[in-house]
Amino acid sequence: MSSVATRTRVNQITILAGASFLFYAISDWNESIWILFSTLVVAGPFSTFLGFGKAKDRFFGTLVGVFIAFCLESLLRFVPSILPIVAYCIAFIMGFMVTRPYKYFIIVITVCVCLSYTYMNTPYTSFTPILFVIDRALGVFVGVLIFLVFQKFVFGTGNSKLELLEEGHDNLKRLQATLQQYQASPDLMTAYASAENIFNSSQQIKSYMASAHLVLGETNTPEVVYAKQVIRLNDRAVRILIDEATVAPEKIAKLLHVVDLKLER
Amino acid sequence: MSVFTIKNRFLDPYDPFWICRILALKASTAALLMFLGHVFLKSPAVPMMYMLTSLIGVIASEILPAKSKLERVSHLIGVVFILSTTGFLFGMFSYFTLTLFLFVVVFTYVVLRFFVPNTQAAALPVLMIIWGTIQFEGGASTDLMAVANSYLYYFEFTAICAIVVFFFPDFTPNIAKSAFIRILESDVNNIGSPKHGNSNPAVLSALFMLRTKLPALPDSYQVLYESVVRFQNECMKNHHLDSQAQQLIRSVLLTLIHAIDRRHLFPQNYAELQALRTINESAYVALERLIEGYDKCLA
Repeated sequence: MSSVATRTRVNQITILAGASFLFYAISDWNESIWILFSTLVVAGPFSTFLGFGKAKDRFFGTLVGVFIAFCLESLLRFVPSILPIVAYCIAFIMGFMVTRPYKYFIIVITVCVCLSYTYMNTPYTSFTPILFVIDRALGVFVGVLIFLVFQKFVFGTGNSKLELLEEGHDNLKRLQATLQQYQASPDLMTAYASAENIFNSSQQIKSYMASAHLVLGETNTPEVVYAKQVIRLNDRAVRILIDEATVAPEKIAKLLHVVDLKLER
Repeated sequence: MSVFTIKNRFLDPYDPFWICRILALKASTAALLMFLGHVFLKSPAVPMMYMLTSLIGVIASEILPAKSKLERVSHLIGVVFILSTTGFLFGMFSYFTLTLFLFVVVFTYVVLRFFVPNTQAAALPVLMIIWGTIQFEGGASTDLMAVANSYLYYFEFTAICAIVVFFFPDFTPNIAKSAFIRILESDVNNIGSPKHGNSNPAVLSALFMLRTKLPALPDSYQVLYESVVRFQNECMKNHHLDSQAQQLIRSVLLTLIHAIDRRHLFPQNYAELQALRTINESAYVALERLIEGYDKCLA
């Protein structure tokens, strides 16, 4: 069963997809498909917090990507026989970048898609590459703009706050379960495995907090304060488990009590 | 230094755990074979979309957790089938703008509701929607004959990619060794520093990576993981080591990093290790166990 914030976000992304599709279908712009792509890709991480960070990366990554694509297209115009070599190199770089931060990945994807499009649709004239680059950049700009306008003025911050609260609550439940697991078998290996799990499970809420100022505008809302407390509890649990000379069971019990109280509230 | 070495000073800052290198090598091998295959296959349309879809399948087969190569191949086939079918569905509804609009809205809602609870496939719904919309510009198949023809062409490229996925060497030990090297490098840089602890993100992420890869590795790596944990616990949170012990441990760790990189055993009767024994027995035991754990992985 999905949470309330998740179901609301599904509705929001569906509205975004419909609105950007209408923009694509109704406008008389040949390359308006980029608007639809951009809106979907930016909304793609699902979380509003990750979407805002992605919107910024997408815009700058696209600009760099279209510039590289323009250079490659110009080169291929004079030496078309090197296309397989260029495609092989792009496949290697694409594989390499797929798990890297989004701004690097989008550079490669932009190059890839621009070159594919050139060979699929575009009649090859002297000005085609540069016109295509401009069209793509404008399409991405409008797509990102649609996302930001809908997010700020239509959807508002209500669901984002709920999302942050739900993530904080889920994180606390995971922390509680991990600490209880450690209490059941308090040995060295479990201490390290628990610390690694806590560290890994806190990455999501930390990435939300990295763009909280962009989404919520202010950083002292009750949801942000709650998320900061959750992060502090996670960090403290990791330190108690693997940084101190010996793991004190009473410290773990005390921390677990704090987590229990927070969850009850 | 090549892309196949475990330690690479150009790639390590961007790819600390060898994962990007595996994906890059796999994707480029698949691309090469698809280019060769394309010479002999008769494409019903420009083959870019078919190649890109198959390539995404190859990358997904590596990213999604799988216990065997057959499971990886089934992930490849599943992803290519889902993406190609999405493309065909969008193509079939593209006659009228209104039906297409309704289809885009309903499809987006349904795939998001269906896939979002599954965290492993979280990226798939948006990819499906994007792949469908690409078909508007890329010459979508709009009749059943064209769809059948395109399915066959996808099948040919997927078969080529399945060969790559099936016969591609298993580089999982390189991921474990890279994670091990990252821990040792962090220890070399921070030994003796009062601010350093095991809760350092570099150490924790490397430990987590090493542990998550254990089910796909031989049992000797479990011994290595345990010896790493014991070493970190003995030596890296005890900041009362004297400067001579710190110097000796640093020297041994650097030699161990070099041995891992060269895929060699740790040198026998290493002088610094013996010297450490005389001044700090507990640190010597932890280090000896660590070296033994690594040597067992090579055996």
